[in-house]
Amino acid sequence: MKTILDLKVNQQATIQNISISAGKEFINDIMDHGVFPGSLIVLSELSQSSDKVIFLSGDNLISIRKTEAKFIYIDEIPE
Amino acid sequence: MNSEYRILLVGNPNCGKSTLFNHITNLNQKTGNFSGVTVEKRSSILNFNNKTLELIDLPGSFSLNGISEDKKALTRFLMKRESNDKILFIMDSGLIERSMQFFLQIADLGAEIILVLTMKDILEKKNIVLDIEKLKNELNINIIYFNGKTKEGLEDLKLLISNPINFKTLSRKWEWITKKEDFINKIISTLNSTNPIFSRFVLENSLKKESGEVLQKELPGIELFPGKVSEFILNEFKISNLSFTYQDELMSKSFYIKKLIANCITKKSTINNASFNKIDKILLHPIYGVVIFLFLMGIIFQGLFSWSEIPMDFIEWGFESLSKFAKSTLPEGPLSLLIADGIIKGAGSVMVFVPQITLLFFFIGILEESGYMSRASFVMDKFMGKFGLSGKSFIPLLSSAACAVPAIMGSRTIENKSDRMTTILISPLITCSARYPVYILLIGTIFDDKMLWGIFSLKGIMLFLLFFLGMITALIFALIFKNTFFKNESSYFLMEIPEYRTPSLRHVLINVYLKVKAFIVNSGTIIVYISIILWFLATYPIQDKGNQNIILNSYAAEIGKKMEPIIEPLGFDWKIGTSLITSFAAREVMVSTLAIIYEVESGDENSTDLKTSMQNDINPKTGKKVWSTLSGISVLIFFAYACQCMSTLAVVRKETNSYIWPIFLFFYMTTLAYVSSLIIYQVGTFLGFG
Repeated sequence: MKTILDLKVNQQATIQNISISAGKEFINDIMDHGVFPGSLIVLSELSQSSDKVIFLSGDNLISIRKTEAKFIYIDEIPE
Repeated sequence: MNSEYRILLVGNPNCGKSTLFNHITNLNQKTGNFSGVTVEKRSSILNFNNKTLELIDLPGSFSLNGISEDKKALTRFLMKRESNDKILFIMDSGLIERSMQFFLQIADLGAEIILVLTMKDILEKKNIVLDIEKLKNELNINIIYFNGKTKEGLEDLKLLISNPINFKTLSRKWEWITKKEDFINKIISTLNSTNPIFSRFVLENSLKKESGEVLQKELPGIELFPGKVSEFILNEFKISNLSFTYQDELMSKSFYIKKLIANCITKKSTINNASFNKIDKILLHPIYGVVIFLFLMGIIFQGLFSWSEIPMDFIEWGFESLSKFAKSTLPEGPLSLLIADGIIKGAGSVMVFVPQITLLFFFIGILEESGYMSRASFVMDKFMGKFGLSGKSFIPLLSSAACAVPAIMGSRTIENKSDRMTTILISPLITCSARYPVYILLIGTIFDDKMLWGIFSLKGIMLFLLFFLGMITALIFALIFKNTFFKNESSYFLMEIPEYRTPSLRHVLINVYLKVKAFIVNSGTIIVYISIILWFLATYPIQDKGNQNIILNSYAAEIGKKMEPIIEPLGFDWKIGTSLITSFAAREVMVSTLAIIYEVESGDENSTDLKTSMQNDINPKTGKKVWSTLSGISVLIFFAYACQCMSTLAVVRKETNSYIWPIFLFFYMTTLAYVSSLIIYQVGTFLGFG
């Protein structure tokens, strides 16, 4: 299964699942920011030079640590 | 004054809620805390159109299930709100899709609402056209635009909120999937409630809890229904085999929100990165971003140190003059001493912090308003993460280098409770400006003017090492606290990177004013009380009126002498013990106390007389120098670690709303100081350095 970490810059995907291993509080928090199964996300080019994962969800630019990003599974959208 | 109804300002963080509150109320604000927690609550009693109403600014949140203290306080407040309370929901119109989730949750409470849309300029910049009339028709409530910069919409909004009839309840807008919706409707139809919307809200929470969701304990659940009703609900739920998760709820709401937005937004830019400022490529860069951040911090640091010096000196001079004036005009006696030396000087010790607090909150305000604060936390997160903290702890810790008092107050910007508490507990370990006069005096007394490798002054290196020691010890203790007291607290980094905005100077200044006022009223009172006690200890009993050296016969000196057996193993004598007591009022007081004890007229840290007297002082018991290199280092280490600052403890008491944390802070720092000095002095003596 692919995660946000596998995305390329400007590539679109939908969130498929957030594993409970990311922690319940983190899951609730990120869902409150509009990131939950079905949400469309795009990996930001800002991620290129960053130690974190930065992506667009709706109109929000969201940043998370790679340690949590590996628990967010995605379905890639073919170009 | 009693208000006819209360208006609660609710919305996401950074949606422009507090800006709107400031515009409506100006300085007519009362600040306090929510009951039992140190979450700031701002309120104001207003008169509009012959109606008295109370406006309350509640903490920003993304849902009713937030985990931080302020978000919990918001949920608790909303659940216990009065029946005629109205809600003014503030929404960033550039972030409607996300904000609508929280809005629908608030609507589910059955509250009467007016929706205010802010940040219209950002919406226009994104080339999005929102049809507000369509949105009004869809939601069937009053909606108004408000521009925080131009005040456009402010007068219309005041008119709207002054009539309670303009606040309206929303009918239920979103639905669960058919099977679940049918199940809820079946239960609701059997419930006999006067408030069907709220009953549905409670029922849904009950079902989510029964499905294994961990919800905030403030959210009402099955316990709110009578015994037989709850039994019936639980039985039906078991039979149904359904599951009601928070994720399902968000997805169902999202389905409705997408349809709503499609109807009301006539032109929408496609999802891409173009709308975000290219400057972030530099500001969020792991190297350039850190360099720029450190440069900005250098300016702020410079400001806290240097720009506050003149007003601080002026305040000190002002209170000193006032004290002298009081002594010269009031009849001689204990009352005149109490007023001049106890109360006036105590008040002066509070007011002297005002310039630094003002500057720190001004800088923090500008950084927050502009959107840079999130970026600063972002770039520092990696480094701070190594010590179990997040990037948000960096600015309060750095400002501790000027003074721990504003730094501890500044930790309010840290949402994560364990990160905030850890930051508060380690801030006083960072070398603050009040320690420098003591360091300069002691280093000057025990070290020679030696140069190392021809370029580095030994004294300069010692000063740097003490600064470095404070910083390293603080970070080590952050790791210790995060792995002991706060071991089970979750720690992750999740942050929205906001759009850049031009800071509103007016908004920043109002916030600074309120913070300074809160400090003077709350922490200031405690500081004045402690000052009076310390003044009493250092002044009484007065045995000889003509004796200038009152302190030698004071209770403080007596305590210092009684302390001698405890502090002797550290290489301290009673004189040092006495100065440790008086310096609890303010660290730098140690210098003036030593000057009085050694009967030196000019008592500053650079005084040659004082240094010479200290260097020549021989301990009558041991026949050795009181201020040997080893005992001097022992005092320096003690001073670097001990919590010799009543103002810090008063602020920790205020910010944690507890007596336990300041007591813990005092004991852990004092123990650390004592043990470190003991080891240094005893090991040094054993190795023959004594």
